[in-house]
Amino acid sequence: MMGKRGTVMLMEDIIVIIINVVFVFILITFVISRVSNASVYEEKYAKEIALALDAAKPGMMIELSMSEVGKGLDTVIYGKYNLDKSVLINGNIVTVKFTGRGTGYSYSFFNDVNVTNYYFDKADKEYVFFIGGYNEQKGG
Amino acid sequence: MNKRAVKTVLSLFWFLLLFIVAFAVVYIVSIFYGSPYDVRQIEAHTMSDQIADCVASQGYINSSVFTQDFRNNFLADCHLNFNTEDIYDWKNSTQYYTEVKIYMYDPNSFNLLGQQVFNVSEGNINLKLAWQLSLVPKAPSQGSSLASSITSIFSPSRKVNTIVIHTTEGSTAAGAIETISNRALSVHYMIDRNGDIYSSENPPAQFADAFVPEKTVASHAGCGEGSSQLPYCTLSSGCIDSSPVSSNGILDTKCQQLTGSIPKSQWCCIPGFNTNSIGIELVNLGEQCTNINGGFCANAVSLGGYKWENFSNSPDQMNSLVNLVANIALRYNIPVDRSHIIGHYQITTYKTDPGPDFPWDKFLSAVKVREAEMTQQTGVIAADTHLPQGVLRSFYALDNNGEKYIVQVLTIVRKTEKNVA
Repeated sequence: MMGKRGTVMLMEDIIVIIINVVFVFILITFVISRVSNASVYEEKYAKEIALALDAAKPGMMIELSMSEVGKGLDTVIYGKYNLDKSVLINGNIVTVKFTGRGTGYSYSFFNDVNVTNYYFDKADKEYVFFIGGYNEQKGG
Repeated sequence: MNKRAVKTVLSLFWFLLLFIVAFAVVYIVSIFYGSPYDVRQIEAHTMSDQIADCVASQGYINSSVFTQDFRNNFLADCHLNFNTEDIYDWKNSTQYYTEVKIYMYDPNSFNLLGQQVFNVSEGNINLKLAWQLSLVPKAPSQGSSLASSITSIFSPSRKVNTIVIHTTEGSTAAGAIETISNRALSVHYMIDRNGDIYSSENPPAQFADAFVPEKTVASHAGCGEGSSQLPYCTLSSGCIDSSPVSSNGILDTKCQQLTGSIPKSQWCCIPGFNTNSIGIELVNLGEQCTNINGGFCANAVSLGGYKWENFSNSPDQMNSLVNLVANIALRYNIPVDRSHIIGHYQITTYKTDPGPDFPWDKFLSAVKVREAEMTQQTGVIAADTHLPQGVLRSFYALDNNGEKYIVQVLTIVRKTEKNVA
């Protein structure tokens, strides 16, 4: 049978263990929140798409896999947000937005091409961009 | 110590360890995921490819390139759009700069570049200057980080308080560099007529030993064997008293005699200037124009029977010099005045460089303005995070007559986000 002193020591051990567990939990949560932060993916995809369009020539079709977004992002965010509305191209500026919050991330491409159409292929989780031709107007 | 005390100490130790590990994890994750995904170098390469394809295809320069229409519509013809999104104040100034230069191929030139036959540029010219500055090494003594402190222990830095401007007394950088190398001399920087800056970080292919980094003392302003410091020789006015020198470096009659056949023992030279100075050579014929007519000496400045090359021949060189001196002065906290930014002639009376044509007043004013701009830009130099990324590429191409050219394409992208690592 445990005495009063033994009970106190056991309580101390339990408190230490609980503090440790809470501490480690907070740390892991922080790391996961940073790694799976939607803004990280928004920036990465906006820039990757801009780079792909910079190197594009008229007549090309570019397929971009978005499967990594599903793996990396928090499933709640992924489940709530519709990936087929994630990419917007306005003139020479790509905007990528993976969550309902914020304005997403925008990045420009210098190649004066006309991205005629793009759509999200749900089966393969791919965005497909069609490069129609060069814009007629002079670059700014 | 009883068992309970030991346990308490162990618990504290355990918590301390946990905090250290946690701090390390948070720090590393924050650094890694807090830094923007930097693609500017790839952008610059891709733009360079696009412009190269626009200027030449399959080894031949496109026939339209040499036309005025191509110059006027360069962006449109090469399908470039420099509009950017409106974040980080990017809209306020163009975030790109590009430049295409075409030179005749000259096998006798040290960099194979002959006469320039084409030049077009678009975008923000300031990016070119900032990019050139990014190639200039940082002062080794600057910064207070642990790494720099450790580095300074093993390679003690020197106190730089003077910048000495020289001219090469030759028409090409190649000749000057070879001379410096062969005479076992050295310099920190050399600026070519087109504004290109050579240094130990960016040396030409041959004679790299002619350049030393800023942290090393260079042999550019020494007194040589047999010379001595004469009483009338002071830094502020050079050869004074019996043989005054005017403020812009014009030697009087006596000093002109010193230039010629005077015995070495009577040369006037202030020793010790190598130790605390940075030497910059300008590719310029200088006093050699006394014996040369035409070419770079066509509009030479005459004085007292001597002639010096006119610095108006090379505005790009002066522009680079202003930026380089402002850069160095800012990093080493060197006052921008005639006591700290001096000509070689102020150290050695038998030297006249950079010569009477050098526009000291205008130059120092320009350096001060540039230095203020740099300071205003939250320390362009101190924090490389604001410097753009650029690519300079050269390739051969032929015209329709089979004439060989060298095409140089420079592309620079700024688009710097607030905390680019």
